[in-house]
Amino acid sequence: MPTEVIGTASLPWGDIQGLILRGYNYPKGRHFVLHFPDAAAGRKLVASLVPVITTAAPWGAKPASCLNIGFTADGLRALGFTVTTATKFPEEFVQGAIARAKALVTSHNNLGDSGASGPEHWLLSLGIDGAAHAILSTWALDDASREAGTAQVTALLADSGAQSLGFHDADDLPDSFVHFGFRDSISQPKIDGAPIALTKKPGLDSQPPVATGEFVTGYANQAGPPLPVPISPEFGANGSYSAFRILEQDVPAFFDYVGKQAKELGVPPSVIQANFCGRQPDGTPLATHTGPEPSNDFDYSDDPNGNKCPLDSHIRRSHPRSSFDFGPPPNGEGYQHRILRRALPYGPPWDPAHPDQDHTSRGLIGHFMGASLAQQFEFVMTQWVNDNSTIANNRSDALLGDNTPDGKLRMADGRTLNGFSRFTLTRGSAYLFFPSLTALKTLTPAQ
Amino acid sequence: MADETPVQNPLSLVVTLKPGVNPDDFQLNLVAAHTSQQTNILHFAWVIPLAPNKVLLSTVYDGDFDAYLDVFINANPEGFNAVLEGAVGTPNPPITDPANRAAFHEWVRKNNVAPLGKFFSAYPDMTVIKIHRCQQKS
Repeated sequence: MPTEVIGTASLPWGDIQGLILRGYNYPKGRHFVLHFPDAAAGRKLVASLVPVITTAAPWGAKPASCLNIGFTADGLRALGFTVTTATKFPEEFVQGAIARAKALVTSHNNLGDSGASGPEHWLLSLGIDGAAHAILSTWALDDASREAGTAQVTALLADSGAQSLGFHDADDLPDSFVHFGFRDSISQPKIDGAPIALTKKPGLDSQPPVATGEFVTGYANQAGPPLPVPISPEFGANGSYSAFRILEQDVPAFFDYVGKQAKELGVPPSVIQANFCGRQPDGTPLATHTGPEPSNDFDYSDDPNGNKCPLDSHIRRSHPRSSFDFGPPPNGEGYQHRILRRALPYGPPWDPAHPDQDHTSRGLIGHFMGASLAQQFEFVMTQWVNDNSTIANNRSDALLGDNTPDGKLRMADGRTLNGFSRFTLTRGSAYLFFPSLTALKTLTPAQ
Repeated sequence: MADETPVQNPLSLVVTLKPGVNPDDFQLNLVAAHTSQQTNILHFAWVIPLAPNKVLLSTVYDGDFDAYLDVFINANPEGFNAVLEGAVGTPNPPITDPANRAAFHEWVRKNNVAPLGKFFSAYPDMTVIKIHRCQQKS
């Protein structure tokens, strides 16, 4: 069966790591944090991984597991590269997630990775300067396939001398729900030139494709010419950047708050939940929409004041579309700064019957990707999710934002929820570059 | 309740022009570079001649200028390249080169002349977006 293409661009799928161009839609994941004691060990590992890295090339039968690798600036340095803006790496990548978490803390430029979400609280050595060199991510059809993939990775690590600092699992919940009780992954950017057969899901919509260069290095982006690529055109093109994130969701606190407010206001809990998200738990948007459910065909042009979908609901703060006079797609500001989310839940489902016995961490883990971390991940977090004044009324994204100690949310019916703390905490972050296969093949042990 | 500190901030850049650069042409590039994208953070932008080879770019904007500088750059790299070509002390073009971009961020941070005392605003919590919204309601 010929594979259809989104948009008109022609991309070398076999050279691009698969997670960039397509959502794998696997139920299991495992993310290893790697450290290279020296360049030889790191290069030996990469050379041995090249044959088993999953690309965006069409597959016949779905493989039992997929594997991708992204490197931190420290990791590329350990492999022998000069990682500076002079070698055309973006400044935020050169600095890395820890430095950026510490730098972006002012009220109008707040990444939200401080206090209880600061690097000193991060898992898997991610908060220790110089420790994390790469994240090796595997996705699998089931537990057995994940263990088989792990055995393969473990053998390659032992053979190369590279070290694993630990791993963190991801486990899908039924029907693509997340722990806060919503259906997830309905709205993902459609990349010009990506294989459509592999990205097609219920809810595929009429939103226009996004320029390839927003997500793949070396191509024109929405604003025009490509951004410079690192090291050399051969090395730097057909890659992407990722903010790898471990996001802990305080599910008991969220449902406790939702339950209390529902009782006080005399509405079903799902109404409170929907106001936080901007969608009903089943994915139905609160905004006026068309198309089959869960719809992604909507904007906010008939709702400037948030009387249908609250201005501070999660989907409206993180992807404002036509809100705030941002103008229509594709060039309106509210349609820029898109992020690919390659993430799955982690931890067991919350059991509301036994809230007192619950001491388990759960949340969302994975890659938040784009061709510019500064203009995509960081911009969305600092200017739209956490900015306490620029686009809204001294409030942050109700579900994802840095709301401690006093969150506020004006609901669609005009009543205000307040007094809630932050529900989503950062438990790990790493800024990664996912090189092309061409680039990975240059990392031979001989060099 | 409004913060005590206004959401609006001033940006005041004193720019020395290279010999032969016409201030009238230069100011067009300077303003165009900063206003070309509808980002809804800029209240005002204007250029004042200080000397035959010196101008002052003044803008008032909402939030954090550094975070938005890349939005302006990406929307009009040619405008910024013209600014880099005409000004003394700025990095060389092209502005899209990561090293030049980082150097330009640093140049703006260093050359933004801070006000003596506080920046006064009659409406400290009114963003461009909120003002537009009020206009639509009236």
